[in-house]
Amino acid sequence: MGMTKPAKKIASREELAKLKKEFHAVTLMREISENPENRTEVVVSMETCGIKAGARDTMLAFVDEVAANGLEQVSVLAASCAGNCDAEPVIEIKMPGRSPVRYKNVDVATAKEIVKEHLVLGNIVERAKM
Amino acid sequence: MSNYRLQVLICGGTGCVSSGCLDVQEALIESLRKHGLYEETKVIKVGCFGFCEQGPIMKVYPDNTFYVRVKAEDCAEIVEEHLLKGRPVDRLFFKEPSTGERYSHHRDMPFYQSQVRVALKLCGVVDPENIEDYIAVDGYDALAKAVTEMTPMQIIDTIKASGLRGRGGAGFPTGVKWETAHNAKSDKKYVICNADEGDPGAFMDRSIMEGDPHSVIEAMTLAAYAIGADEGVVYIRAEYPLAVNRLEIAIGQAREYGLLGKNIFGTDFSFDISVSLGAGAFVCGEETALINSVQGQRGEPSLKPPFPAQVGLWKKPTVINNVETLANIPQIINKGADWFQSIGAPGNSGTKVFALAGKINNVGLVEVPMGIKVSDIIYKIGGGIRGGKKFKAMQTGGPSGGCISDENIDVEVTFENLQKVGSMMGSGGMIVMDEDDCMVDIAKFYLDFTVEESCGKCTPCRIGNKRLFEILGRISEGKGKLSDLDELRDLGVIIKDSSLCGLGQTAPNPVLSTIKFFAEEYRAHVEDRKCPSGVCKGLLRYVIIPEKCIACTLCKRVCPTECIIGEPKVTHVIDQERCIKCGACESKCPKRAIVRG
Repeated sequence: MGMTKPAKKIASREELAKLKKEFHAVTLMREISENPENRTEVVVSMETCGIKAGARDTMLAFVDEVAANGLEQVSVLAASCAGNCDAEPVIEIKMPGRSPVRYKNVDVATAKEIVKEHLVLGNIVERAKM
Repeated sequence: MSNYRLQVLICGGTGCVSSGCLDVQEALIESLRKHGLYEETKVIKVGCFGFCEQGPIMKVYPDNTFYVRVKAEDCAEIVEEHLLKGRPVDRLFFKEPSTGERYSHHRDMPFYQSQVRVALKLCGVVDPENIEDYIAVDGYDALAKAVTEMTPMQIIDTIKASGLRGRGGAGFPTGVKWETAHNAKSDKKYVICNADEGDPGAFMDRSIMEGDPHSVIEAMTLAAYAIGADEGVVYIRAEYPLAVNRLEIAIGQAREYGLLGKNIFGTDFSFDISVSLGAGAFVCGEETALINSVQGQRGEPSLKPPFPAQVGLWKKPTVINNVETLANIPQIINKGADWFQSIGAPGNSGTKVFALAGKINNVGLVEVPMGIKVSDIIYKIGGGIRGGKKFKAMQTGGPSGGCISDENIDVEVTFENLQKVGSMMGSGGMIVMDEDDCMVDIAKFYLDFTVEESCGKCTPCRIGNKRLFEILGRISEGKGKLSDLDELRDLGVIIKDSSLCGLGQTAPNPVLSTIKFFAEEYRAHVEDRKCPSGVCKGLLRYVIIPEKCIACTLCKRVCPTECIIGEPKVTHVIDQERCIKCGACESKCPKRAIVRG
């Protein structure tokens, strides 16, 4: 990805701040990963069994939904098999200071629901809970 | 904009380029495409992570995994196992040589734990060829704040209050320099960035320019606003092609965004920067010689005063700052003088970047708070002496500096302390020596360098250093006299007192400091005709201990001059007349029967 051409020269500190906000979306991942204690992690099980059950799509859905909802302190990570192959795709939500919650058979639609309910509002999606 | 799931940073500094990072990047991209992960992964070539010993280095986000010594062949496994399936490749984690422990995250590694990154803050963090990354982490906000909300004197006062001192080696207060240039009345003023890094083994400034060129550009622009300059020059050696290239890209991008050029941030302030290439002469790091070189004249120093801040480039007031000094400045404006004062030691605020090299386990670029003990740099960050050998000395300050001996190893690093123990801060070279290094030989090495690099303008430096070098040569060949030691001291002091510029004024330092702290070693060369470390070939003899020799003829077969006499089952002997002291026999002998005597 090349540099986006500037619309015009930066003429004020406010314009710089606006650009910073735009470009920050890319560097943000590096920033929050340096202090992972404060972030929420969505861990997607990505073994062969998970991938076969559609975990790749689930994972990318999380990435897009997290960004679309402006959840800056959330990272989407891959992890190895948790040993529940029939329940794949399995995901786990880890929030700082709370016990982790695991979900089973998380397809794209469920992933979207988990982002809206669990990550944004803090409500556990009971129907998919493991 | 697509959302990246992964970001992979690969070190693209000169060190890692030499160890094959470009092949790694290519192989990684190929594997990513093969597994359909390319679209969701951002691959960025960044600047130096500092851990050059372990390069090429790769960092994977959001896991924050730190891989070392990555080869192109490793990329398929990294992509398939880690990036796709979430199973990090343990064998590529850094293994601490002293404990054998493996670390997956850089922040747990002892090498990074005692470091404080200010000047190197963005090296290995941002893409040096993309201004968007720099802007994303508050880049150019210090400049925006300065030109729209601060007066030039407020900036100078902030820099003065921060206590920032020149990182090129002299330690002159940066704010005072700026104030002098600010107060000088002139229709034209200049800002020069001194990027003529010349100490052997030093690569602090190169790494900053390769890893974070925009911080240097922003700082030069801040300096220009503070003193009232409209033109800047980066004087950089042509031997740094990658740094030159990234700097030029960065200057071009800054112009596109209007951060260089006319009416910066919509104000009346205008400033632009050009790059001036040097031919790599050591003396051109001296500011008056540098100015002459930029003007197209011979790179020779002129007498000071007047100082460049009063009469500089084209006889106009000129501020000359070193790269590392500049790299601190945007953060000082952003975070304030008190923040900078809170790091380091009294009178020595902030950090210093050192290029740690020599007989040490963790070679690389380190940034430490001022006031840290030399022993902490060697043992905590550097991981101790390589091969479990004994520490002998640490050379700092390059050809202008001296050696810190074992008795001073707990000295706290400040400009003044290092001078007290016979060395100096210098620009940041730190070379560790162990028991196998000969201090006469070390002094000879540095003097050889300064003799070669002397511009020849003044007699004490041109002729005096040559004589010093000859005396050292005599001593290392076993032809020295006891009076030579006094002569080294006397002549050294005279050269220091009477030379025109910093080069000659400091050139005898490596000799004077080694003769002071390692007098025994010098005397052994002269009185006993022996080199205790077995380095000086003129004094070296390899002998075979008859009791240990098993007469296997291995040494005989490896000897290039066929000077080892012996048959199977007949104890071998070395013919000293024909021996060239290459040491091949010593390393071949399975019984360690061959020793330096």
